[in-house]
Amino acid sequence: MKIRHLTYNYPKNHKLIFDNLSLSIVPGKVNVLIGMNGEGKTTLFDIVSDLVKTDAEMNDRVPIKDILYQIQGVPILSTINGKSLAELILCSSGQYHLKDITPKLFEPLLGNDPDSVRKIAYLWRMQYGKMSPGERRWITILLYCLINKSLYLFDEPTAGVDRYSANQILRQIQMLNKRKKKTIFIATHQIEDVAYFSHFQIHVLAHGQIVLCEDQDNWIKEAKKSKLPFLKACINDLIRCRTE
Amino acid sequence: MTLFPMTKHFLRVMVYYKVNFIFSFGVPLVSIIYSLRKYIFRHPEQKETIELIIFWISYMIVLYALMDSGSALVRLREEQFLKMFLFISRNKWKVIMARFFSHLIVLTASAVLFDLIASILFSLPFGTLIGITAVMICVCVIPVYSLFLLFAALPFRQETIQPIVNLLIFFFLIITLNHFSGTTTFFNVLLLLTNPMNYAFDVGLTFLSFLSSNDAPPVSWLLLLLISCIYLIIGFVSIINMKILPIFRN
Repeated sequence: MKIRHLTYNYPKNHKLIFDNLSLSIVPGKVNVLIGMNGEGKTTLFDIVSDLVKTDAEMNDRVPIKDILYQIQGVPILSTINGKSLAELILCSSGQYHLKDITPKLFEPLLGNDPDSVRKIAYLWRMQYGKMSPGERRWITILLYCLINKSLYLFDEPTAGVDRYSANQILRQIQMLNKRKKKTIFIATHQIEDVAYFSHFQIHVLAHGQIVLCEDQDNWIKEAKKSKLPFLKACINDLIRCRTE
Repeated sequence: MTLFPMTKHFLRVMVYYKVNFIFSFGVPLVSIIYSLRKYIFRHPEQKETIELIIFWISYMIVLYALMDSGSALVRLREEQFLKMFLFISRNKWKVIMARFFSHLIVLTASAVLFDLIASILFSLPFGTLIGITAVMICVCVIPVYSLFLLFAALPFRQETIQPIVNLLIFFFLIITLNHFSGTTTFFNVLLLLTNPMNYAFDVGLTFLSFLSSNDAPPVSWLLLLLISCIYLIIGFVSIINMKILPIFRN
């Protein structure tokens, strides 16, 4: 999917969010969008998913029915348990029947990770309100990974989650891409997330434009040339993360 | 099949917020018991009592629709539930349908329970009450629900919609209590159009007059059909123009 000449401001706000932005989402790959808070990552997702209409030139658009969009912090009734959440998300997708909804459904995703298998069995009976924010996000993303779509948009899937749980979330996203060859578009401002993926395309959003678009081999080299303080801080964090 | 889990979820949400039942079921029940307290386990004047029950059933139809239609969708939109499930279930119609079915189930259960209690307390024919209630629900529930979908199409936030909804039910109650139907005047048509409670009440009274073939119907079926169509068109246009993204951000 390619976007060209995207210029956009919120209807009641004159501040320009995107200024002649161009973006190419590489199909079959993990595409990582990084940018500071308030740069418009969620708005860009809304445009990619056709929720926000613009005059931009869009090629190879993915239809809305083939997109799955994970949204931050949607309140779900606190009294429903993991099983009911699975029923709600999976059966509403039309791809599963009630009889399919068992913890065994997750086995192909979780593989030989006994820790995750134990975790799903435990969360299956636990009320959503009693789960920690990390557990809620983990189970929700796990459920999303079971739905078959072409393009997956993950809006800060690891925000507010401890590193171990974040890695578990990223592992599911990585598997979705590796095993099923799905296109992933993930927004984050936690640069450690990038270190989890072996192959990816990074898109850096700053001042209303994609200022850097490189693959896993070249992005650090190119980013070091940048004068953006945010990007410099990201690189330093990533190098520190790798040395540790 | 895809509607079932979402309908079940919305039913859970409705049951979770039990305080709403005080207004939608408790108020009619307490009111009818208080106003007819002298006739408990006796035989009050049947036609008048049934008319009173029809009035409170129309109140239930309107109040449940006020709470579960547009204003509930505004809440779902602002909480981004609508956005989330647009991508899971692939279109917004499924979310609206599931919300409607949960509304229909709770309304029907409340109305049947209300009829049962009223028929026991005031020795009324349960079959007649259920028949009238069934006709009122079948005829009115979709148009009245559609009418209040209008809220979802307006660029208002939940904080704005909620006080309007709270005030509207009192407004509808007052103008229905000053019941002007009986003649198909311009004023009556206007009242029917603007007051869905009056519309539901007239549907019930019209069916009651059909059962007791002596009485003339308060308004013609054609007029009621016309009003139903207007409400349905408002609902359809509202769904088409309904926003998915929260107003506070966009």
